[in-house]
Amino acid sequence: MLVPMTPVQIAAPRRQLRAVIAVLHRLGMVQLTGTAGQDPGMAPADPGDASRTAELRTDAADLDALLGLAETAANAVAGQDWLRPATVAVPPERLDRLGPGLGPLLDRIGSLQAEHEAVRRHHEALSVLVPLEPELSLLDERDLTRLGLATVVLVLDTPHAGILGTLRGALRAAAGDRFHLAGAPAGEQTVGCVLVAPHAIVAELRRLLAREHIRHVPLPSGYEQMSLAHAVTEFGARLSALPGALARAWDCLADRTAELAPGWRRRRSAVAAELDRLEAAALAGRTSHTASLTGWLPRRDIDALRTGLEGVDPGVIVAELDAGVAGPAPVLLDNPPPVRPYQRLVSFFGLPRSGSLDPSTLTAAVLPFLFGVMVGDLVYGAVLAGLGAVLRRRGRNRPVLRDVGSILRAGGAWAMLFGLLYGEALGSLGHKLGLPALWSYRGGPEALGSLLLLAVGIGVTHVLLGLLLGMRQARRLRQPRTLLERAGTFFLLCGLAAIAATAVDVLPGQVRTPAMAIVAVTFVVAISARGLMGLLTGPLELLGTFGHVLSYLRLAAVGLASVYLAGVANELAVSVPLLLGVFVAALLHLLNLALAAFSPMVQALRLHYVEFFSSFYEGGGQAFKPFGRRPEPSLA
Amino acid sequence: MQLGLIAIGAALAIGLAALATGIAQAKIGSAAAGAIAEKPELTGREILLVAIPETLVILGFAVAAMILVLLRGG
Repeated sequence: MLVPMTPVQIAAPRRQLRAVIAVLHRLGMVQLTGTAGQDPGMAPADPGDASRTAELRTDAADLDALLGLAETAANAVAGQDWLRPATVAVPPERLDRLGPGLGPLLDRIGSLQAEHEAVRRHHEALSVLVPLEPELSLLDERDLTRLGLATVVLVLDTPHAGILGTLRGALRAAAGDRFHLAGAPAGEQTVGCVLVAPHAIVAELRRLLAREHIRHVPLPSGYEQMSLAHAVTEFGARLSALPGALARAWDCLADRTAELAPGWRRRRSAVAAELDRLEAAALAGRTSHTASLTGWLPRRDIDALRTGLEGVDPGVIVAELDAGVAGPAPVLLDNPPPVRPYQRLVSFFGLPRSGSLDPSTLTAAVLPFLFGVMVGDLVYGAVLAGLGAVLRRRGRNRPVLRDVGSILRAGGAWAMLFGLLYGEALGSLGHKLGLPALWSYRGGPEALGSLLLLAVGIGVTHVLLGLLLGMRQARRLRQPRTLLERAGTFFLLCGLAAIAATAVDVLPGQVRTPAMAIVAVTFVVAISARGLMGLLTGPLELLGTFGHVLSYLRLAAVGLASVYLAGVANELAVSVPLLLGVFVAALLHLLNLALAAFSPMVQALRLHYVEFFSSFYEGGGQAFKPFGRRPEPSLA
Repeated sequence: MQLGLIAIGAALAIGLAALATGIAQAKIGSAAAGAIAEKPELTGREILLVAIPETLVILGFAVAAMILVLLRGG
């Protein structure tokens, strides 16, 4: 049901504006619209508000970043993902104020991560050299000192192994043959190499690297003087130790942010509330002595609003405005609890326009019925109803899950009912075990015709209901052409249904002639209601309506697909060795159940959105967003 | 022979319609996925658009069903 809304204007002494806004924020029942700027005689807003708003927005961004950091730290610890970036987009001075102690922790993690990356590259680059130069790798610092030699281990930041030839050539030009250079590509972007030479040559090498602009990744301090083998061993040991150090640093960060997070959340709520109030103040119109706010609220709440504002100042006035000048009203749906899950499905399609019809109750009545017609199995229905009940219980604090559970429970109940009518339990298994079909077993050879008639009958009824609602809507909105067009289509469809009923002996033959007369007359009425263009578009529109009725054949199609799939599962169970057969049958029934949960719901929803709503539904409604109340999480 | 051909006709009626529906829904579905990624509030309408071509397969089913019913009656 669409809650009747009324536009209001709240006028108060200017000095009480903030108090009025605070009360409106607490009550959370008015959607504010703008008054400011509508009258050039109005005074400007308070000058401090703009800077305070900017300050609060910065605070909000900082708090959001810190709460994001808390989540990142918790995820890093839970997933042992120590290399994920530990940064937060908050300037250092604000970080110290909002999160004391976080700066050093973040720096520690950053430096450990940088060290991990450097050590990994070096270890990768140098490990490839040990097997190439086994004798060289065995020399330690004492051996090299005794020989008057020095070792330089380099990691060159280039993917081209040809750099070694360049280096060799340059060193030969500088020092003849008094050096040994070995190297190999390591990874995609690095070449590892080791040079053993007299100290003077090593110095020349360093000058050469600088002159030729050869990028090399300097070894961390302390590793430069080591032999190749020792350096590789030390890098390996450090690489093994770093994850432990990172884990401890992340644990500290996660603990600290978990400790601070509740305070951040409270502060964030306070900042959001103050921002809301400042934004509301910007909407107010002001003179030198008064201020006014306009907005929308449910008509039923206007007394509560007046009562709430009484305590602020006796001069506060709440006046109802003329809805005609206030523009389109926002939309608030309010239905009894059994209908509320279907209200969400209607909102999915788009809110109904203010003043139009809310189809939530009809959807609540028909959608589970259509679901039941398609699924139509005692066991599947029981499982789905049970699953729905479980989801409903688990979703006490999760509205979407609770609503899905409610819809599934209702659909499952109807599926069980139709399971009894069709005599189906796990498809053909119920029929084979003697479960009687109270109406007609779908898997039988004679069932197709009656099932198709049922589907068409449901379609005709549902489409006629939609047309009836469309006629009511057109009458209320004083749209005579639309009313005539829908009435013509309605009676045309009734006439055709009567003719079809006489063909299958549901109605006596005497009905046929009057029905044909009705069809002829209403065909002309339906086309002429559309004006001159109706001659061209009218027949197409009427064909569209027949198409809508035929669309309900999917009730039979989807249902039969489910029956035949279940039948295949049951046949397989008996045609192969028992255990294998039962296993395969169980899998197929599970698949059928999963399809039964999803496909009939989508089809039933589609029948509502396209075939049913098209006759009367007017979308484009804007949701009612009261000032001070946070929106519910959306399905999307 | 005639019975077999009629059965093949019924199968083609629904098979070709399903093929056409699949082709249409593939294109609509990929466009819908892109639209939803940018504007999640369009999910409802996009599901609707994806579901619209199913009328083709339903009409194919209707033709196939009529053929089978008439076949049984004949």
